[in-house]
Amino acid sequence: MKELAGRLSALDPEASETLKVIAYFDKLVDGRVGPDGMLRGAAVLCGAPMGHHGIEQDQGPRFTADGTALPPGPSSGWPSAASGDGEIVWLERQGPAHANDAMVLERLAIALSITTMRLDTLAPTRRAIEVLLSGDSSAEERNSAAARLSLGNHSVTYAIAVPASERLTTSLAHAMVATPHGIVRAVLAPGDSPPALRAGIGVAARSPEELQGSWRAALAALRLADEDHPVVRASDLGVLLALADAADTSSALHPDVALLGVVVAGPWTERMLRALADGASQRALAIAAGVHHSTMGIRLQKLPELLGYDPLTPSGRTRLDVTLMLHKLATVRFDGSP
Amino acid sequence: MQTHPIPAFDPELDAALELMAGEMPSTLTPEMIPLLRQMPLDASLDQLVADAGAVHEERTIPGYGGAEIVVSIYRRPGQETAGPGIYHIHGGGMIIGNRFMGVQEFLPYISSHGAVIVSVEYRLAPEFPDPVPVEDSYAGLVWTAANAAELGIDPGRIIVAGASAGGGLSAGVTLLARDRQGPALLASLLIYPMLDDRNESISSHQIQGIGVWDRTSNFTGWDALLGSRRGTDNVSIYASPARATDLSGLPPTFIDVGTAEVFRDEDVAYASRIWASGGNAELHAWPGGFHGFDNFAPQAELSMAMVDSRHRWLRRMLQS
Repeated sequence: MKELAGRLSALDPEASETLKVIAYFDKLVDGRVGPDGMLRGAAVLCGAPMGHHGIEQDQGPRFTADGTALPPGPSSGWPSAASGDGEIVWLERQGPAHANDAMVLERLAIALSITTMRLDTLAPTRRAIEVLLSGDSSAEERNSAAARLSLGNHSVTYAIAVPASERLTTSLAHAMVATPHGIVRAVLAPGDSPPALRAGIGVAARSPEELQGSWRAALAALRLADEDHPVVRASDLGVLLALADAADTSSALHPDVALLGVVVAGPWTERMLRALADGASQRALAIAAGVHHSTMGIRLQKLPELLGYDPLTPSGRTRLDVTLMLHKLATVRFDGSP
Repeated sequence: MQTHPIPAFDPELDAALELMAGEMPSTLTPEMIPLLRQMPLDASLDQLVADAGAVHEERTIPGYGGAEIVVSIYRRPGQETAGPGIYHIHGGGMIIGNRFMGVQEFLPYISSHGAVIVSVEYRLAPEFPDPVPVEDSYAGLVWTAANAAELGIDPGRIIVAGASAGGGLSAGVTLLARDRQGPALLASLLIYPMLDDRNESISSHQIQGIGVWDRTSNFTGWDALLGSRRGTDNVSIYASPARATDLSGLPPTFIDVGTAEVFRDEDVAYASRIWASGGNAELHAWPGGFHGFDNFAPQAELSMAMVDSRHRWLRRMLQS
């Protein structure tokens, strides 16, 4: 009670209390105090409202200097600090900053990020998968990540890419990861059975180092999947996989692919060109396009000019076939956006 | 005596306590009493009273042995219909504090329930040893009940309430009212009450040199109140309610306490004895709470839960 013990109150506005602030938040972290408790404590220490919001949010819960909750508000315009994973804490300080404001913000952000990691039970799995699939992890990091996922128990592991919207049909280590082609679910499996209705299955990896290549192959395979072939195995692509890898690592589009992008904007569609590359007759193409076969004949005559080669010759057909694949690899987005 | 491991302080409370270390020692000794009494008044009290839509009035009334004591009355300016009465007894280990400490948490009931709060300035030990504090407190209760009509209080709806020493005095006043056929009470609210002068429970041994109001502080308070009688057979149940063996015939009683404070075991035992006597008691023991933690760190999760539980009970009593 107050007459016997005083009351927790705001820190001195002018005297720096760095060690006290650090010890305070360390105790909260050690005691596994939740985010709200940390925020309320920080608000009391600063004597001003404190707020917190997650990544890509602009509002979040706030607490006043006596610890009572306020409706969510924006962080913009207030002194703030970001945690390692992009969460923001801010202090609604009116007037000049107090001596301990920056230190409280910093320690609160650190304390919250530790708590967030703890609350996220999938985080260790996710981080291990990210380490294994990333190109810039060290061998040591890969080995400990592989150990965490018990990959050593399997002779081979397959990286498998599954669209984020697809439900997994088997229980496997998985994580959502960001790729140049959008967010996709990465799955690590001991076999090459598809874990979802739609999947791109990478090549077999025999060591943690090889998983990165397996993942690149899985991403290529998933981009080549379509309604007719919802599951694509990278191993079935054979030599084309090397081509896909080369195209993915090249910074510029091949001129054939760029030109194809122009052609499919006109009367030709990707689907029609695919049928052509697969050897469909002029009549079948006309029926598929819903035009008279003589109209299709005229279109076909113009095609070599548009593409820069004749797709009806054997080498031209191969060229079209490969170009269609590379065009797909360059344009498909996993999240369905254009 | 066998040593007992001590329940760890709740982490939020512990962090707050460490931050404030040095503001107030865990151990209070008799020579510190004059300094402790110099604690400033709550500067925000007048504002809180105004926010509650209440006015503050002081009356001088007869205390124990014909002496004059003061009560503070908080109520709506025009108290037309009689409302419940909250008779408040402040804390401070029998040795410090005043009638303005602790009324704050009851002020909202003035507007929400039409309550009238009477807070008594009982005389403090050691200058005024037992039975002065409990008899002054009882005199104030008798005066409140006798003047209920004028104060705007429904005489059938008076609650006694206090924290720490004020909780112990509230328990003593409740026993006096029972045994002297005094004012009928609707309920007793005993907030971590100071009930036992003997200071021999396990919890009274566990809390020494840590937390708030440790074992030595408890000796300081009880010695001031009882002098050489402390711990002997010559102590009344009204001064030290833990000594009462018959707790039948009491109004509904609420007790809350922290598990890491001296008063834990005597408070739990008091509730148990009420139940053993067929009575109505609600007991809350808050894990890792030190003495008065709800006031010390009100923003902590445990503090909010404690205050919330206490006032849910009080609202139930006021609605009955």
